[in-house]
Formats: sequence, C-alpha cells, structure tokens
Amino acid sequence: MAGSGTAHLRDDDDVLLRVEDLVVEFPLSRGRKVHAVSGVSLDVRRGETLGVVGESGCGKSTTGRAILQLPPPTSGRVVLEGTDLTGLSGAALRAARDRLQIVLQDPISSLNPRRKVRDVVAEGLAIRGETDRARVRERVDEMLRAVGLDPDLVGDRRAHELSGGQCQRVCIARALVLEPQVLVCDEPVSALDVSVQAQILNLIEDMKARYGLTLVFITHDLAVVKNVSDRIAVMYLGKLCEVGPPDELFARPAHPYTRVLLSSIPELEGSELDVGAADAGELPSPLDPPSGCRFRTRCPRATDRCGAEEPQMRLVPGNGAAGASGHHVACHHPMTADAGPAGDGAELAETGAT
Amino acid sequence: MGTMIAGKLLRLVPIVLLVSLGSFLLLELVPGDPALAVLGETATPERVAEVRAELGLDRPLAERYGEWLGGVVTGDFGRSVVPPVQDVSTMIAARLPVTLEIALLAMLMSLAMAVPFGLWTAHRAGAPLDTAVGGAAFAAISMPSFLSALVLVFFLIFNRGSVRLLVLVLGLALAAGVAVRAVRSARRDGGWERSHRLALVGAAVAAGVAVLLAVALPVFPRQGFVRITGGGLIENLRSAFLPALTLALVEGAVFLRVLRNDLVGTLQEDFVLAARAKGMSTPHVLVRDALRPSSFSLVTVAGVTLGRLLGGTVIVETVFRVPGMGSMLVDAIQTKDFPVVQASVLVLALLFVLINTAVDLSYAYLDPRIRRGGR
Amino acid sequence: MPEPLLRVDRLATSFPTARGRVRAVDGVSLELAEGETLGIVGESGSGKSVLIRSIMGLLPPTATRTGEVRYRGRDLTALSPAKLRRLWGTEIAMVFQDATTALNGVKRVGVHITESLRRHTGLGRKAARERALDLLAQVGIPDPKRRIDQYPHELSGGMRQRVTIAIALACEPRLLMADEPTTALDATVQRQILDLLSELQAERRMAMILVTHDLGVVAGRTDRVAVMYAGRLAETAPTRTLFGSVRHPYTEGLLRSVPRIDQPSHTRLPAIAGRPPDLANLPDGCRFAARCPHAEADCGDAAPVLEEVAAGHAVACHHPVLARDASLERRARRGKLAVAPAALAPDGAGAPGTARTPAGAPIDAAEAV
Repeated sequence: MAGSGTAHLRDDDDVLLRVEDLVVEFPLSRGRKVHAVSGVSLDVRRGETLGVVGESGCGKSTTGRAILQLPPPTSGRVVLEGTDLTGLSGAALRAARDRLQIVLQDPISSLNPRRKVRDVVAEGLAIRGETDRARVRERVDEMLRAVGLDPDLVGDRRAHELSGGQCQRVCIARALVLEPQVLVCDEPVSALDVSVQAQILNLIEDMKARYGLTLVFITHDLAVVKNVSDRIAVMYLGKLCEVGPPDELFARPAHPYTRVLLSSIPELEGSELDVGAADAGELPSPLDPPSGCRFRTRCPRATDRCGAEEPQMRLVPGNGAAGASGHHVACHHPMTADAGPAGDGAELAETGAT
Repeated sequence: MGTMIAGKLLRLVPIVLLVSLGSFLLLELVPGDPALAVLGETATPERVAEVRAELGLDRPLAERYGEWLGGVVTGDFGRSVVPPVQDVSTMIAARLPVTLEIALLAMLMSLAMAVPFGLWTAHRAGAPLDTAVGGAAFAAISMPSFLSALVLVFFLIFNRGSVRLLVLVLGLALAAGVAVRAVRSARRDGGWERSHRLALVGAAVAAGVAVLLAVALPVFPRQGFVRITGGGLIENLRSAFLPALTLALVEGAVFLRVLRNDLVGTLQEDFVLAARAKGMSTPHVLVRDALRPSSFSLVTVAGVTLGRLLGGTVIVETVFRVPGMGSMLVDAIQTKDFPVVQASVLVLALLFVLINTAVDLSYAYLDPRIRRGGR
Repeated sequence: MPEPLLRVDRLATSFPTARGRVRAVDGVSLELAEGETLGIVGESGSGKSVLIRSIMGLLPPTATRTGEVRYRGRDLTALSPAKLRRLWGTEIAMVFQDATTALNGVKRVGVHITESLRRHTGLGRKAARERALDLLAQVGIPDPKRRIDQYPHELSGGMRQRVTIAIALACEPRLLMADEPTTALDATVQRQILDLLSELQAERRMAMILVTHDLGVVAGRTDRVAVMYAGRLAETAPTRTLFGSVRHPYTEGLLRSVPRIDQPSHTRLPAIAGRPPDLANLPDGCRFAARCPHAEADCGDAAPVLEEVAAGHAVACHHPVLARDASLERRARRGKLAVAPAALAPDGAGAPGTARTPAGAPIDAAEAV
C-alpha cells in the first residue's frame, strides 16, 4: 500500500465528490508531526457507496473528517460538484457543509446528553435559518419516522434514555434532515451489537435509496464494507493500498496488506486466501513513516525497491479483463492470479495459497 | 526526569521575580505618605524623616527595589519600623519554623487520617461505615476552627477520662470485631490462611495501642509553644499537638472526601478487577493498585492546603497562643510595619510557589504517562 | 463418568438497581472438561461476562448469587474470600477485553506479573523476574528484557493483550476465562492473539471459556458453544454440530444478521427486529419470543428449558428451527488446532523475501491428529 498517485480516479461527469492528493498532518512539539493522511486521492460517483477500510491508525477517519473540512486538510483538494471546499471559509463553507453530513461511531456520546431528540434533529435546520416552528417540527417528525423512530415516543427523550441503536438512528436523522448529497459514515455500526448492526446497515441502505445519497462508508470491518460498498479503498498508515470493486477485490486481492486483512476474517481462516496471521511487528509510527512503501516493514514480499521508491497507483497487472472494473493497486510486487511482473512468479506460487 | 525538574525550576525564576516586585510594591499601594501611616498624624517631623529614610522613600522606586532585592538575596530584609525595632530576618527566623512545624504536623496527621479511612470507605462505599465517616467528615469541615479547637481543649485537657474510655472502648471493639471475623472465616475454610493470621496480629496491635493510649494518654498544654531548643523534642511535640490536630481535623476531612471519591471511581476500573482476579489481597489492591492513580486530586488539594497553612492560621495561633507567621503578619499589617509585611509576603509566596512546583512534579511520579524527556 | 473440571449448576446472579432487581444470569448450567474450550456467545446484556465472573466469584458485594459452582469437586460458592483468592490466578485466571484498562497504567509491565508470582508461588524477587521474562517471551513479546521495565502505555494494543495473557498464565492455571479478548483489537492483531491463545492452551492442556459476541471467532477456536440470551442459555452444542444444525431461532438470527464476505454487495441483512428485554422486567415465557419470527402463542406462556435434541446438542425453544452455516461449519470442522505454526511466530517470520509456510500443511496435520 503506502502508495500515492491518481491513476484510479475516474474522469466521467458523474463523479460527485473528488478528493485529490489529500494530506493531513498534525503538528506536535519540537517540529515533529503526525502524518495522518499522506496523499490520498479518491472519487465517488453520484449514488455510489465508497467503502474505506483499514485498521486503527490508518487515517481512514481523518480522511472522512477532512472531506468535511473538520479540520481542513493540510493540502490537497476536496471537490464537491466542481467546487473546491478547501478554498471556502465562513458562510460559503457552512452552506457547503449542508450538502455533506457525517455519522459517527459512538452514537451515544455524539448526542448532547442534555438535549431532547427533537431539538437535536432540529438544530441543523435552525442553524440554516429555518424559523417557521411548525414546519421545523413537521420536518423533524417526518425524519424521525423515516429512520424508524416514533416521534411521539422518543421525540422528548434524551440520549441516555435510548439504546445505542436508537441513538444511531437519531444521529442519522440529524444528518439527513439537512438533505445532504454526501453522507460520510465513520464506523457507524462498530459500537453496536450484532443484531442492531444489521438494522442500522439496512437503514443506511434504505436511506441511500430513498434520498438518493452518495456514501463514503468508513469501517474496519471487512464483511461490513463488502456488504455496503460499490467500490472499496484499502488504507494503511495514511496511504491507499488498493482500490477496486468489492467482488474483484475480495476474490483477487492484489495488495499483500489486503491479503493479510482478509486472512484475519475467521471464516476465511485456512481457506485459499489465508496467508496466516500478520507479523506481530509494530505498526510503524505515523510520526516517522517508512520510506517508499509504508507497508514494507511488515510485508513478506518487500524488496529493496520498496524502500527506495514509493509505489504509484496502477491497474492491477496481468488482470486484463478486469482492467475495466477499475481494480487498482499501489504495490511494486502485487499478488495477481496469473503471473505478475517478472521475478514475482515463483514467489507468488509459494506465498499465495495452499 | 532530570531535565523536567530543571525546566520547572527555570520557569520559577520569572515568577519569583514577579512575586518579589509585587510584595515590594505593597508599600506603594498605601495612600498618602507611608511614614505618616506608620507613625500617625501626631508624629514629630524628625521621626517622620527618620522613618522615611528607613523605608527609603526619599529615593527613586527602581533604586529602592534593587537595593531591597539585593538585601533579600543575602537574607537581609531590613529592619522593622515599629518598636521594638528588630531585624526582620530575625523575626521571620523566630516565627517561620513554628508555623512550618505545625503546618507539616497538621499535614501528616490529616493524611494519616484521610488515607486509611479514604481507602476503607471507598472499598466499602455505601456501607454504614462509609456513611458514618462521611457524616463525621462533613461535620468536621463545617465546624469553624475556633470551635473545634475549643472542643478539643474541652475533651483532651479538661475531660481526659472520657477520652481514655472512648479510646479503650473503640480500640477493643475494633480488635474484637477483626478477630471474630478472622476466626469465622478460618473455620469456614477449615484452615488458617496467611490473611487470617495477619488479621489476628492486626487485632492484637489495635488492642495494645488502645490500652496503651488509655493508660498513658499524654498531657497537652492548654496554650503556648515550646521550641525544640528550649525544652526538647517531646515537650515541643506536646505543645504543637493540639494546634496541629485542630487544623488536621478540617483538612483531613477535606482530604478524606477528595480521596474517597476518586478511589470509588478507580475501584470500578478493569485493572482493579484484574488485580483481584489474580488473587491479590484487598489491602494490596487498595494500596498498590488503586491508591496511586486516585491521588491526583488529593495531591493538588494537599499542596494548596499546605501553602495556606504556612500563610498562617491566625485563629489557631491565637487560641493556643502560638508565635507563628500568621499572628506576626496580622500584627504587622495592623501596625503598618511595612518591611515585616513585605518580607513575610515574599517568604510565604516563595514557599507557596515551591510547594506547587513540587505538586506538579509529583504528577509525573504518579503517572508515568506524564513523564517526558526521560528514556 | 469422571468429574468434569468445572460444573456449573443453576447459577443465577442478580444486582439491585434503581429499576428493580436485574437478573443478569438466570439459571445457567454447564460443564467443562480438562483442556476443553467452551465458547460463550451473546450480545451485550446477555449476561455472558457476568456469568464468568459469577463462576469465579468475582462479583461486587451488592450482587446476589445462587446455584452451585463445582471446580475439581469443590464448591466455589462456599469458599471464603481468602480461599478464593488462592484459587484466582493459580487455578482460574482471566483475560480481559481491553488490555489498556486491564493493566495498571502506573505500574511497569513486569510488576504486573511478578507480584502475582511472588504472592502465589513464593518466588524471590530475582526468580520472579526471570520467570516473568520467560513468560513474556512465551507470549511472543520481542525483546522482553526491554519490555519488562516499560509502562503499559509504551506498548501497542496487541502487545498489551499479550502482556495480560502472560499475567494470566503466570501461575499455570488450569482454566482460563477469556472475556472478549480480541474485541478491542484490530482485525489482524485479533487473529494473532487468538492463535496465541490456542497454542498456549494446547501446550498446557488448559481449559478455556472464550466469551465473545462473534460467532465467527467461536467457529474455529472452540470445542463447544453456548449461546446466551437475556441471562439464559438458548442453545449449546459441540461447535461442529452447532453450525451444521442451528436449532434456536436466536442463534439463526445472529448468524443471518452478520454481513458475510461470501455474499454479494448490497445483500439485505435479515436483522433481528427489536431489542433484548429489560433484565429488570423480564417477560413470562420465552425471553426471545417478542423478537422471534417463529414465535407462536404458547411461547409467551412457559419458559422453554434446555432439552437435548441430538448428542450434546440442547436447545431451549418450543419451536426449534433447522439451519446451517456452511462456511462456519467448514471452519469448525478444521478444529481449533488449525493454526499455522509459522503464523504464530511474531519474530522475523515475515522478513523480506522469505516465503511463509503454506497455510495448508498444518491444517492437514491437525486433521490427522
């Protein structure tokens, strides 16, 4: 992974949100900085769901927040329907934020404990300048019903009186009441119980269909990301590893890191995709990420080239027919079904599978 | 760690300078002529001129400050302007150790009360003992210190018999309770565990201490203070005991509440459960696992308290006729003895700053995550 | 029949709350043999964590516990705190969900291990330290000499969980209670920790109760599974049997509602409707009835009891279903030893250029055993 480049970006008019070369750094004392996101490029078509998957510390949540300019990225562009959000400020940015909403991981703590459900949902409308009380109330109740809550039952309750699943429904209502075009979901089901997870995932799909949403779905859960996405981006330590359609990516993961991730799924243990547990080696510090490919310190296939030269996004080689599907990888030695680039063949046969 | 201490101390320099400037400028805050304020309207012009010269009012401010600061650095705070005229350093040297001793003694006593009771009531949060101790602490905090001083005098000096009886009864009851529990528990297990034997030893010690105290309760003087150099350590401690205990009752109660509340939170933590699941004993869990992470508020409050106690506890000093900093400062303010006020304020402020630095540094000891610049 | 290592009989634990008595565990019986692994699966509030704490006796003073816990023939509920403490750590040990909070942040890593060694085994300071170094190496911590004097916050999440495992294993317990040991960890680290637990367990013939909300985790790591719902066991069976023939509608619901990577994208998930019942105000009859798609009138009348439907497979349901999960069944059939040994070594197994041991070989070996 650990690669940059924009080869995987698409050119058509249908792209609603385009992130180019996004960099987010957090300065620390003594001139050090956390390289949270380093040159990530993504695009999402209208009505599409882009899944962003990776482990903690990979920068996926920071990417999601930077898209909303929370906080604005250090550099790079976030283009929503032709408008570069990174250049906006003040009222223009606030107006743009209406079109971009976010749902966070912990539903209970993302609701103000002292406010009633109706007020939480109405707040965005008030900020937008909606003053007609009756209309706001009507709109809020309609939204609560849409997310499967009975406004008469929960409308006057506060967060601590609701279950985690109900709180997440309120959060979704709060985001959707502003009629956004893009909804960023940052681990929206990770804090929920298994049976509730499914309810919320279904709800998000329903809302997407009903309101014509475009989704950026951030998660660490591979099965979840497979279920919700039209396209998946795998991240590691602030960089993209691999981008592609879900079926293709799960059936023929090209990046060694994607393989390691897939091997961690209990169902796949011992299957042909299993490459064993990852090295216990520590995740490198984002203060001082490795040169070249950032995964090379834990990668079984790393060579000298990986340290010297950063891999760029490119179409998965030797995958001719699938090229059209847009399966891209940032790796010097990708794992491909048929023979990869010269010198990789023998290694592949050994490392790949049983 | 070393660099951290050095850094903290370095940061003190400007603060200390500011404090010294502040205490020096106290004099300037007096409306009108400070010399007249000292001497009153009826003073002779010669005497006024003398005092003005003593205070240096005839020279520019900066020069006076420089000179005063120079004196301070060498331990010379000038002379008092109100008779009997003395070196201010001599006056402070006589008063500060008394205050220091009583304040430190009070701190020790309050911690000695607060930590064990805090640990135990937090462990048994919600139990009758917790409620009782909490109520007693609340009463102690609410009671003005002159009243608690009088109550202590009433019992420990004029009604010693009742105190002896109380100590004896409470001590023996505690010992008996612990012993009975240990025997029962041992019988249930069909064998003597180490913790059972320890409990018996503890019970015996408690009973012994109770009997000893009941038989030989020391006599405390009603008032006055004996210096170590004047009457030896024992006499000195006897005279310091009641003033310190008066202060300790209130402060100890505050410490107890602060510590108990933090501990109750800490005892909910997973690592406490994990320590118990390893088979660690309750005292081990309380002291070795829970106490340190729970003592941040206690240390903060204790630091502020110690600073306050050093600033003087005029009421206690007055009730027990103890020659401490507090009464000296109050007298000096009343008689407008400016050099004494300036010097006392500076010394006390310095001590306060030092104590708070120590508190800051202790955070690093209490929580390794705060340590930086180390390995 | 020989006495099992652990026999729990009608164990019930409740807590007083403002809303009334919460019956967190309500009549659970189970058995565990030496060296066996039992998975307890349930959602939050199902009582799974309270269950293992009730077995150990690690409960707050306000809790009320009834029933019997026999460990190697001794009734643990009758022991005094002092006797129980001698058992905790030496016979029964526990690994917690979140190593970050389960380790005391102000204590060095080594102290966590040596204090319990010194208490239980009477080892001296030096000997305990040697043993701690040894244990840290056994749980796959590189450079134990350096790590032993570090504080927990200086370690990564996976390393911290390895440390808590080392602490639990210090006095060679016969029974390990693992309470969601990998839930707080990243997926790839989760795999490492589960592999490590399986390996250590096999080495020491240690029995384990693995508590989790994830049926996938249970599939490859346990001999038997017990599914808990609202304080009771819904279904219990040997792991292979369970995934081949799921009988309880709740277990079925759990399996179906989890997204699966073998399904195409945008597959609609058959979620379990509603929420678990309020434990302070439980319904009569079956506790799952309100959410159950197969519920009938009689489900609300009497609570179903666990009844054996096949060898070792018991279900508490008036109208059992029959479902299977092919991929988890396959996984379960491979057994808990299906772990590539090379994958366990946290050393330089992945050094540049070296090929890994193919995952297939050890699996075959395990199946041959």
